[in-house]
Amino acid sequence: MDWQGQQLAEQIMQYAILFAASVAFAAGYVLSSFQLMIQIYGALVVIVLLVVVPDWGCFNRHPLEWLDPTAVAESNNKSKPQVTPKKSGKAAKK
Amino acid sequence: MFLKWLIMRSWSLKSPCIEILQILVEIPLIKIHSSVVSVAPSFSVQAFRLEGMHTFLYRLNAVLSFALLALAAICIAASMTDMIHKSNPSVDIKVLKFDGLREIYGNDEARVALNISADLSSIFSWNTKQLFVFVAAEYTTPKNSWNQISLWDSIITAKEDAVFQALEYNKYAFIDQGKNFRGLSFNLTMYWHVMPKTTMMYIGSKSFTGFKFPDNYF
Repeated sequence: MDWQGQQLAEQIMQYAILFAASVAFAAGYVLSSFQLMIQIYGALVVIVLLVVVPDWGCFNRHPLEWLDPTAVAESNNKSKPQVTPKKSGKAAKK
Repeated sequence: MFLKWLIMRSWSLKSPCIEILQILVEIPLIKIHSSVVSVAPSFSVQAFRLEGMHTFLYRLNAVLSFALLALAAICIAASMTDMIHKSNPSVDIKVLKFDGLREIYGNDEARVALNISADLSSIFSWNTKQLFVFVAAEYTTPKNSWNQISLWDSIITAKEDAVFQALEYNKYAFIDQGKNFRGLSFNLTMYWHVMPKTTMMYIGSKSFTGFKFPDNYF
């Protein structure tokens, strides 16, 4: 799961559980059944678990792009005076 | 897991030290706990957050702990609704007859037939688990300023059972400490202990006065 995916999962988790809690409480109070409240809440939490916990594809839409290690090494060398101008030019284009 | 957390924490605090820490901590991790090795490759990314959603178990933990918190919140909310719940229980207790009053081992014992009728159904709210109901005889003697003897009790687990009538002799022995029963007046009080599904138990009661023992043993 990438970073944006983690943030999305956390937000979904928080809003969905708050929603589940309020729906369960309202239903339990209106129908005056404590058992019903717990059952609705439990069912909704299971749904939230299924949505958020597995690493679904929609949480992986922003994969990390790592720099090419050779490019990093050469751009570091660029700042040093000993390196030839040819090589540093190539690295900058990359 | 603690070591991993430690690494993540120190990374986010001192980013220049990352490489040193990685070298210092990763090597003992792999050597000592072979089961933790799988954690090591993902280190490079995890400086991003402290409590993360990055791994299956972390997400499971996050969801379950937040769900538990919300469950506690709705349970507290449910118990709050008991505060605005109004009840008007109706109770009546009568002594039908005295069926014996005698001295036993230096103490007075009485046997009474009771007619207990009550409608406690309005006490039940959606957060009520059960009621414990008992009838106590209460009286004052020279020895004890306050005597309380339980004569009858019942556990009511459903609203439908909260309307009842009991025509019974005293279920538990009605024995005094001493010999004070003859001609003594006493109260009968019904107490109900309301046991909610969440939060605290509370007690209600209703008293009936003006009962009087016979003047002689029989």
